[in-house]
Amino acid sequence: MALAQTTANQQAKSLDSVVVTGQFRPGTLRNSAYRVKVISSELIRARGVTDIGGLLNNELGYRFSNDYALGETDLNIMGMGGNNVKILLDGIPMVDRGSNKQSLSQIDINTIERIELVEGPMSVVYGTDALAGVINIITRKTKDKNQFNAYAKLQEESVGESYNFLDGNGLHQASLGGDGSFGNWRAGLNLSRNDFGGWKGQAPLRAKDMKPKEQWFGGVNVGYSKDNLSASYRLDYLNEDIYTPGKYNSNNNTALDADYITNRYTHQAQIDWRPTADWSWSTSVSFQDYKRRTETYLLDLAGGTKTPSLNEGEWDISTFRTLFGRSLATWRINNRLSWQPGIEYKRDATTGQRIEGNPVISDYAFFNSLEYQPTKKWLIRPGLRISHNSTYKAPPLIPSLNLKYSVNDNLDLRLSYARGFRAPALRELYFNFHDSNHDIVGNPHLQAEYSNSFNGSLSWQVKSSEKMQINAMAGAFYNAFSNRIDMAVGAGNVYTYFNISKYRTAGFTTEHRIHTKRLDASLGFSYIARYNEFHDSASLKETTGKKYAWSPELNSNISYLVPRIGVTAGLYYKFNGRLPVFAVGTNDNNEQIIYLSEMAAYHWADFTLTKTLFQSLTLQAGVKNIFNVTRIQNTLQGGGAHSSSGPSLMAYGRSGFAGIRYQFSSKHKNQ
Amino acid sequence: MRSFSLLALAALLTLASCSNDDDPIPVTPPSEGDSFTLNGGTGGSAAVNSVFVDFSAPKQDSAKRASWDLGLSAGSNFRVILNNTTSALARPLDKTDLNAVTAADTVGMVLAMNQAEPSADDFNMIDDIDGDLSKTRIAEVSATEGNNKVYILNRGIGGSTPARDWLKIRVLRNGNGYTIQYAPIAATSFQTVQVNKNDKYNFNYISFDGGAAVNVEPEKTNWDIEWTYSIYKTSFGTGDVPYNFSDLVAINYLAGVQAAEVLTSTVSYDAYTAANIASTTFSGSRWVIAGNWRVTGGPSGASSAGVKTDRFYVIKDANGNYYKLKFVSFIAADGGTRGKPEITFSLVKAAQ
Repeated sequence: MALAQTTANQQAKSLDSVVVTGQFRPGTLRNSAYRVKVISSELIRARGVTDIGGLLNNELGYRFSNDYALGETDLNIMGMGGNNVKILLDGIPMVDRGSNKQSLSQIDINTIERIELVEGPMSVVYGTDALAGVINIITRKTKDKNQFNAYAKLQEESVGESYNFLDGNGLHQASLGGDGSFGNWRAGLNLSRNDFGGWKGQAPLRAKDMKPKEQWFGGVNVGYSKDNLSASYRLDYLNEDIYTPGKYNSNNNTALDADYITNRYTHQAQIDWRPTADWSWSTSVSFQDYKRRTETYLLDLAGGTKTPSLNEGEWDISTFRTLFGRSLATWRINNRLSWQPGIEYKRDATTGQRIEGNPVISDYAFFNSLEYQPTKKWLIRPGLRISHNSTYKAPPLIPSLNLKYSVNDNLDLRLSYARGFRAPALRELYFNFHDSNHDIVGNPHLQAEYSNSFNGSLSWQVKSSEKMQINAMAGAFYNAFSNRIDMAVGAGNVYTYFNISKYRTAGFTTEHRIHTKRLDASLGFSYIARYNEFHDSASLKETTGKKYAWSPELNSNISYLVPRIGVTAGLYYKFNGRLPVFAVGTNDNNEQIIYLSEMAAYHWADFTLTKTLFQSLTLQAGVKNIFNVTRIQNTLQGGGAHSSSGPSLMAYGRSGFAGIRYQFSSKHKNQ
Repeated sequence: MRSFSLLALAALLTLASCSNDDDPIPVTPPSEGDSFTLNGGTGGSAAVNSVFVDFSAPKQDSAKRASWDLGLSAGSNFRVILNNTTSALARPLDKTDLNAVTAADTVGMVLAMNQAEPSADDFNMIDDIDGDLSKTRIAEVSATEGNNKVYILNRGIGGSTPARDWLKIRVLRNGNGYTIQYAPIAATSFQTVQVNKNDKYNFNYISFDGGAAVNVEPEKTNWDIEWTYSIYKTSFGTGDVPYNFSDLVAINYLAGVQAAEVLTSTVSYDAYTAANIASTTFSGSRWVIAGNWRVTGGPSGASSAGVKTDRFYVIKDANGNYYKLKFVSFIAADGGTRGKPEITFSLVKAAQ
């Protein structure tokens, strides 16, 4: 029955919920050496989101930005770019084309059971990119034996004020799936379509500020488990077409349209074996085949003809193939001491017109962690990773140390030091782009970037009873980066990659949560500093007088089950405070100066109403982006600099949505 | 083609024979305008030609960017310019005898620009970007021969120009002209080229390929704008650095041409008439047009690239004729062809 699921979800709210990210074995949030944040399936459903970005934009420290030209989104976590974030699907890293994390928008949200977020580096276990944090997306799997589930979902959403039923303008999501278990076997299937009609915004004639995008997802998974052995295989398929209508050239009645078509196959296989109570062994293998095709057509709008435009880069296929394997053993030496050694292998291969040659990068790593509990109150977890890379000089040693001290039954203190690193991406090393007047070349001499990170947090379980749970958390972090790889942008759209000096971030967060039978409410606050990366430059004149620029954020999620009518009302709010950004410009005396440009603050709120009928039919409706955010103003903060950075495109304005979901769940009586 | 040229030659000769003796030279009225596909030649974004346009003729002339090495000022000063269209670079040595310069003098010398990571220091290897002749890389040629230093010249690889060996060069005065001494770095003797100033031109050009004078730009009164690949400047976020650009448009600032950018939000191209001239602010700066007329789109996609349809230019030529100029297309994204931009121009007001 559907009840089983509900109960599990409610558990996810307490500190007793089970997490897997960075754990020796699945364990509770409370006992984890890391502070893990869980976005439960209940919250995912309640928010009525159609992709993971829509879910995370409400999290503290998460900021999203749009790429106008490509119709893609990048994220920034705790003041660090998306290239410092590791995206995992069931613990296995997702391939990305560049340093942006497109994979986040290329996962079917309907297949997700929960998302585990860890802030701070986890490079010892997860390797490159895991500096700012890890987003581990856990897929849904049948856990009970001899059970059968099926679901069908349809959601219709407006894009700002533009909407058309089922197709074209607006946002349309349809999803279908099922899974079942039979004896020792389980299997599942899913199919989804996301259709985004794009948004005109302020784009010139024919063009769109946000590009129309159609996605098809398909997935299949099978699993087998018996006694102390379990094995599973999973395949996820994505087809995505981002259509970019070209702007109209009134001089000669032409426009150039492009399609960016992505096909992505993600194969994952996993074997877990637990020969004795003290030994366990887990091996994951994945093969990812990512192909992105560009098609470009010249439209003669007067003559009504459409011909392929055949300039360099206009018809291109880029492929990224990644083979990944990780094997780790966990040995409980005694009650106080566990050891987890592991090996990891990764092979990245890429081709494409704009990629120099057919580069292949292989990465080998050995890592191990110890978990030592000298007393009940202490948990000490040192870790070390050694890696070798075929192309660039890999950082030789990546250490980490996590400490957890239980002050009492309700108060836990966590402290950690970790070194993080990010390998230069294939694109940063080998990307060549010559079809504009700017020759852009990858930089094969790039080195890995490093961070030294310090995190601390205090978790307090204020009250924990059957009826009510109250939790509070306060945390602080400091990250110092060196050798940071950055895409430098100048006038005239000039891009290239460098190991640009230093960067730092620091911040404080507090979170509070109350959970009762009907009410679930949270309130969080963060204050995050981004370093003035130009500060150390001798050739620039400092006008800001600041080494750090601070930005506040506040979020609150409130959901309440209204008695009698059985409707859950949810309000999901976030305040994104003004975001100062250091920049360089020229003043009246023609001097190069550092100045502050500030992105205005904005409020984001979604409101949803959810009603479940007959335990299987869920109706949902709501309003997203209540504050009607579209473009966020950037303003210059003195210094007399000459610079114009237009407003940043953030979203497409207030929209409404309605959805219906049917969920069938059966449990066989036998066995 | 050949028969056509012969025909044209015959016509010219006929004309020439008509304008005999004391007949006053007929003054041709300035053209009403035209549309041109600029002949950038092959190379696309690294088009091999620089193209000079004279609106009043109307005509276009093209010259291969790699066809010259030095431009010698034909004016009253003795200035020498490097080839900005191949991104040529030079550094001085503290020597005045070309034969005394050996490979040892170039050990450790950086005479290259990293396009991926240029530095503001690289400005020291090139002429003033804005064309200020008092700030050329090669110091003004001194009447005192002993003051003229040897320079090491990298003839430039900008815009797919094939790399050529470095040269050692030295420029001297020769009456009201120049003597250029040049040789490969390791050579123990050198060759010379003599150039007399021909003040019908801004510069008289030489090439080290043939060791002789070459024709590059038309006579200074016979061109208004130059479309070319060139070294220019940009900011990588930490201040200006030299940077190679395609599709740069320079005005003939040395001959007194001026230009203004007009936004169609002020007045449309079609509606712009002589009455609008008074409220248009003209500038004699070399790069008043530069690359402002187009968006290349950077590495990300086709949709933003193209000529900017929200602006056009008004050019005041050296004779005082006003033309309005519109860039129609220049890249696939706007229906054009890279390296062969389409322009259209029209007379706004003829000189009095």
